[in-house]
Amino acid sequence: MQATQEILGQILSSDKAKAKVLASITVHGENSGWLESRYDKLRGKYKGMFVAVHKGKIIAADRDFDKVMMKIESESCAEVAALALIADKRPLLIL
Amino acid sequence: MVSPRKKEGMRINGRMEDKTPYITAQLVIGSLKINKPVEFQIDPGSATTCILDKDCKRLRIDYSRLQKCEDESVGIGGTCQTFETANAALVFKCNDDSLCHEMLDRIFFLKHSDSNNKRTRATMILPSLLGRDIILRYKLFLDRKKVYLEK
Repeated sequence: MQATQEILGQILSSDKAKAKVLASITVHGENSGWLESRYDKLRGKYKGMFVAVHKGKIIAADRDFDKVMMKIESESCAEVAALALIADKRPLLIL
Repeated sequence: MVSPRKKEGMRINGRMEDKTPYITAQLVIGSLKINKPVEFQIDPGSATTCILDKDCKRLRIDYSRLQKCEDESVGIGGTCQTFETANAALVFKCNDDSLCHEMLDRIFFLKHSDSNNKRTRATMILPSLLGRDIILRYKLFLDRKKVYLEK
């Protein structure tokens, strides 16, 4: 089993691995931003459901989280898709 | 005479959304075979960086491979089961498109469980948290429009 340092070494020493991680961070951040900025609008159609987003599209939606995971894991975007539960109201988090 | 240019520090840009600061990082944990991106809410109120329920499920975290903490985590909403693992890393994208990383001695995985299914489901809203263990290694800038970490 690879140690964390070994994986980091591979990421930082290979241009290909570095590009993959840069893309992963960028796309996941963009997907999350898209989802959060449209959270209130999505409530009309997806209230109470888990939704998965990739590249500006809802790629899966279901009340069952595992069904959403199964759907996105069958596609290539599983790692970078953003997921959220669309609640009745935007949650006010006091952390 | 040309004044010396101030050396710019390394900056990691986050994102403000609905007055909330977020940052994305690649979570690397060799022992769990995890090398995937996670969206964190930047939370100086949290002592330690934590992966919460939704991301635990998304990352397919196997709690049986983690060490259960003796003490539960305490938050505004109460307590929850806490698991941890050592030797994790977060990889960030810097403003010049380079990568930088931070090692974590330990990272927490929070698991809320409740006899009330509605409350358990509600915990799936909670974001993972970037805590003070990472934030204090940087200067944190935060206003209504932007957020970044800088060294």
